Amino acid sequence: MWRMAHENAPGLELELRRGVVVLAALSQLRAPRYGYELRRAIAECGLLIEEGTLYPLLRRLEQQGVLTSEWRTNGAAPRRYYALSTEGRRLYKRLTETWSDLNGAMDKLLASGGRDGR
Amino acid sequence: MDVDMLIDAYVRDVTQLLPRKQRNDTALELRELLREELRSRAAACGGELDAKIALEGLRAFGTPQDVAARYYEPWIIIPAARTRSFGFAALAGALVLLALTPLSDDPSRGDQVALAILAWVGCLVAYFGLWSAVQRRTGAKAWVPRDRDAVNRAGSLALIALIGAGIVAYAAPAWLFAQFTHGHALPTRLAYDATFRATRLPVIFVLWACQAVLLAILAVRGRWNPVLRRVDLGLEAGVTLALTWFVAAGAVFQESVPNKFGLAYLSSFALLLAIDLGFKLYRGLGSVASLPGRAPTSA
Repeated sequence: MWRMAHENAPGLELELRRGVVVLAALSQLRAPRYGYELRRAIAECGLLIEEGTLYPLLRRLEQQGVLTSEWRTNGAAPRRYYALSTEGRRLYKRLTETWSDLNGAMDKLLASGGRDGR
Repeated sequence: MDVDMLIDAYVRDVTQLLPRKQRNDTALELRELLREELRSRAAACGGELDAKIALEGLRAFGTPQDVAARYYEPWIIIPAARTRSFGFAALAGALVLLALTPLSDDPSRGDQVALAILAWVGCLVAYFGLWSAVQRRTGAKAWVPRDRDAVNRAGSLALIALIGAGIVAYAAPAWLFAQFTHGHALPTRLAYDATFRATRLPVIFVLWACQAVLLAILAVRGRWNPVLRRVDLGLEAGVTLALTWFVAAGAVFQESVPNKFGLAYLSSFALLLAIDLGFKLYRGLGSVASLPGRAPTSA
């Protein structure tokens, strides 16, 4: 049983991280950024996101109207810049509140359960 | 392959899996992002970007199938939660078609059954795909509770009438034939074998009569209970065994041609009942306990 849980741990950790990817991305898109720049900005804050997850996510959020995008070709290579749309700002506010509630609840749960799992 | 060729091959493999209108735009963006990612990866390794690092980086990015699936919400023909239903339906349909095979006397019946099974699986794929497409477009409907123990009283009464008609038809076929044909006699080739009529046929009438009594109880009570379900299974098993006995025990009709068709019909019917019985037993064994609940036991 322990072995199974241990083997599944990387997948569960990845799932946990994926849950916060949308909020993390939205938090950094009040000003326009392109994909690689956004990933670096998030990584500098200590959250590593797989590039194969983040870039498609940006396109999906754009299709859902959460982000707006535009091509900029003034640099060496054409880059697609993303920023929060009006709808995206509303979503960001709502998700931030949800995150705060979750964070508070999780802190209480983890404090009562003990941090080392014993 | 050099770095650019690797990136191009990867981007092509991803974008080919996307809806057509998304491909060019996504390819342009993904190509530039990958270049930047791979250059960064090479810099982190303290060297120049080469094909080896590029290949490692692209593999770390994910398989093209996984990456493409993240770009849009793909249409899933058979959702994971319905895979078992699909498998059961495919298997049950194939078994039913196989069970019906003895009714055909065509020498190419093997090919026909194989085609029929393929057509059945194709129909299932189309049905599940359509269901999935509708769900995707309209969203999942709210759950509607189903009372699995409720009895359809009208259905039970109709089945009792059907059993009565069946007993009359099989017990007195000559009389029934005369009623519908203004007194004509039943063709002699459809006469029962004397031993079958005297010793085996009454057994099925007794079992059918018991099933009719069970249906009458259900129609009055309006609900199944565990005891009635067991009785139902027992009677169905009895009918299945009786039909199997008929097939194994010898002639049903006096003449060989109707006898051949009669035995084929009986064996098909017995197999259908056995399949139905198997599914009922499987579902019964796999179902969760109703209230009052039993506490699950831990291993």
